[in-house]
Amino acid sequence: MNGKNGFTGPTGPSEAQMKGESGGGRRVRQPVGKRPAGCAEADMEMENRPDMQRAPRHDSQATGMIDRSLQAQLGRQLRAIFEGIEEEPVPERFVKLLEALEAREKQR
Amino acid sequence: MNIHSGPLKQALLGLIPNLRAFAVSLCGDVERADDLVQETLLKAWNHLESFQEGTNLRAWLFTILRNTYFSDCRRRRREVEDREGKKAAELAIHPGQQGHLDMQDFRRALNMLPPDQREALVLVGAAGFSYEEAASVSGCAVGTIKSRVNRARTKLTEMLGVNTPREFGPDSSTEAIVARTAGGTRLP
Repeated sequence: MNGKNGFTGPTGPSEAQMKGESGGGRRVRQPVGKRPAGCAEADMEMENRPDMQRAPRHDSQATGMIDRSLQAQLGRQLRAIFEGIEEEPVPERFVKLLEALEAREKQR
Repeated sequence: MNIHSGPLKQALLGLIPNLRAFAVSLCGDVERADDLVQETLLKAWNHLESFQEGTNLRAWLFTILRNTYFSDCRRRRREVEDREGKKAAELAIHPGQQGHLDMQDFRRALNMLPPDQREALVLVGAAGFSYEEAASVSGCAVGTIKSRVNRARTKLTEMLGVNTPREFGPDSSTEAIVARTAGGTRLP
């Protein structure tokens, strides 16, 4: 799942860690069970990267990685909302409104 | 006017799903969105002479809809702020605890954005407009649209980010709402 959004690109020293993560060979210093079950991918990334787990909040590089992954996720959610409404059938009120406008036009 | 006949009706009908999606994303409320769409269709039909044939009908309709929405917002600003305040009070975004960002969290966060930022984000991020088209719809500079989109993304990331639970935990969130309601200022 990691990296599927293309936001794990070639920036900063964390790239090697991302690769190590996808290879599954990276050591985890902290026990995984510390976080609640059912974690999203952003959380998974955190677990597999001890440096980030202990990183202070204002560590801009670590934050940047999460932000990009999160932003891709936010983008998908935004489009999902938009497309979900687009797929709904046109409400009858609009069909009737346009028919009425057209009929009025023809009477003129 | 000949243009008022069949083809226009068909063109408008075809754009209604797109308009509704924009309206709902913009105001976060399906009923209000459909009222906006209705008003947009009426205005478009009655002011067709101001539409330049050959230009983008979709962009023209989006412009009418967003102008309607924003003048509506100005008229009922206080009411809207109250409503947003209530929404914010219900807001408890804790992706870290809950394990994932569910759609409900996202909708709430989206609705908490300043309307101009939400508009820019939806136009560019969902409706597929270029920055230039979005700027034309919103009646502002391209740079303004870019900066609104960036601010919207940053704000959403802050609100929903797993790395900043403290800033948007229940306590500070409530404080922010209280401060905002009292002072009439927006979230930073």
